[in-house]
Amino acid sequence: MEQTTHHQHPSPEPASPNYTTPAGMRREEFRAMGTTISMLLPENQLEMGAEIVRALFSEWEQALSRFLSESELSQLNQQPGKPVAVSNLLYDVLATALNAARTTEGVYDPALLEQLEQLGYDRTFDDLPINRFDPIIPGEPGGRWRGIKVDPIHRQVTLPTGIKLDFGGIAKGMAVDAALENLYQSGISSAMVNAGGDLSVLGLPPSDEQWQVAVPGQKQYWTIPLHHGAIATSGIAHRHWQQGNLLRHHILDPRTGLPAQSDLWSVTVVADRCEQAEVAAKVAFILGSKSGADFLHKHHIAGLFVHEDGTWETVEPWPIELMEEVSK
Amino acid sequence: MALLNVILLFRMEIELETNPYEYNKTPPMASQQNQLYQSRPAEAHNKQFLESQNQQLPQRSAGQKAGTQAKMPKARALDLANSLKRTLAVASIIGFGMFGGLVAMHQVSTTSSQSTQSTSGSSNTSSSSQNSNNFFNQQGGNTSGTNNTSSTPVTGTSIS
Repeated sequence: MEQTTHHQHPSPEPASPNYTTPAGMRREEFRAMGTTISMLLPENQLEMGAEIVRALFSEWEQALSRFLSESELSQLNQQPGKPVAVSNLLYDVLATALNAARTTEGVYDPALLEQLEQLGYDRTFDDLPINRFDPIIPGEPGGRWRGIKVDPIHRQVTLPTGIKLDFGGIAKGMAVDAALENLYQSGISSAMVNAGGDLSVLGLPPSDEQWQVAVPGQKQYWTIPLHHGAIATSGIAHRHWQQGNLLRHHILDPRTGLPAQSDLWSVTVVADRCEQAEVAAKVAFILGSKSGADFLHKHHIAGLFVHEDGTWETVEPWPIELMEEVSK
Repeated sequence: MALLNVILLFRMEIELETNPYEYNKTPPMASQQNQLYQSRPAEAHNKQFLESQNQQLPQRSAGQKAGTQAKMPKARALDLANSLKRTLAVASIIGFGMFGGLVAMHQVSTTSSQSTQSTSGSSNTSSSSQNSNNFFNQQGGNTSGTNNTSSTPVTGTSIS
């Protein structure tokens, strides 16, 4: 059953806790891919490192944004049924997304843009009106990503008629991973890149043995130490809107083609790479607390589930003994 | 495969050298069988038939000695075995070379395929998961920190 609420939205990005900057590092922020990109870089490499990250996110946004009509992704979405030669960047992101879809048996689905637009999310989230009065649609199940034809030799992609790609979070996660890799190849050995809550770290802070990371709860947040790897959180507290009298949000369940009816408020996971963390958090959220926990167990991914009522539970190997609770 | 062929050839050679006369020995069983045949009229008829057939085959030249007749098959067999050994040795070397070449070509094509995938202009998109069937292939140990430092976070994950 869909929820009927009286939320006022679009909501801004949630307020962050007060962050401290590790000694010997500097913080930089900019907007890209519809969110805030923040980074921590060594003081003496700030300028070079920030430029590397900015350039990468700019390139990725230009190629992969569904909100830019001239982007390569938008061009591909407008040519269903025929093979289209694509860049290595788009090809790699698509290949990764299809791999994620296969591994999750379709619970992660990169081809639900038609459904998302029909639900009202047809412009950037910042531009969404408080209420949409589009006709309510019944929802069309996903799974049609299986019909996407990929030619790895000629780097050509053929989309089936009637589907559009939306890489969304996985592209952000991959961009974070790629940014850190570019920083590393440029001689930077300590950095953190955070794209709207999907973050990954490189090395350790110059003066510390870990990265202290805040994880959101409903009325509190926790800190956990991150030694290496990535963290991502998925939930509907931020990106939701009204369609008529129905609450809509951006996490669709491919089994229905409608916003997921989860018993969870948020899912936070820790994984080796940001792209993995992003997909795992989303899939666990869609599956709900029981099946979501089974899914994380199966893939040895640590998770923190926050329920609608504010209670929480963890999935091993979440570092529950290292969590510190801080009131908001 | 090539190694196996070489080992078999060496075994064959050792057997030939240690039992040089075994070719000409008539197995004891054969004489018993002949005796049995002789006791049966029908088989005796067959023997006569075979002898008559043998008479029609080209006979050895009259100048050949009996002793020579006994040693020739062994010499020819040794020659044939040596010839076969050389042929197999050459074939093994060629086969091994072809196999090695195919392995090397496969490695080159795999490497070139990977390098093609990882070149994407200025943005390096190499992803460990792309080369794996399991998207979530994990190394583990991401949060192996300690809680003896300040709890003030340096960054945070947020709901997206």
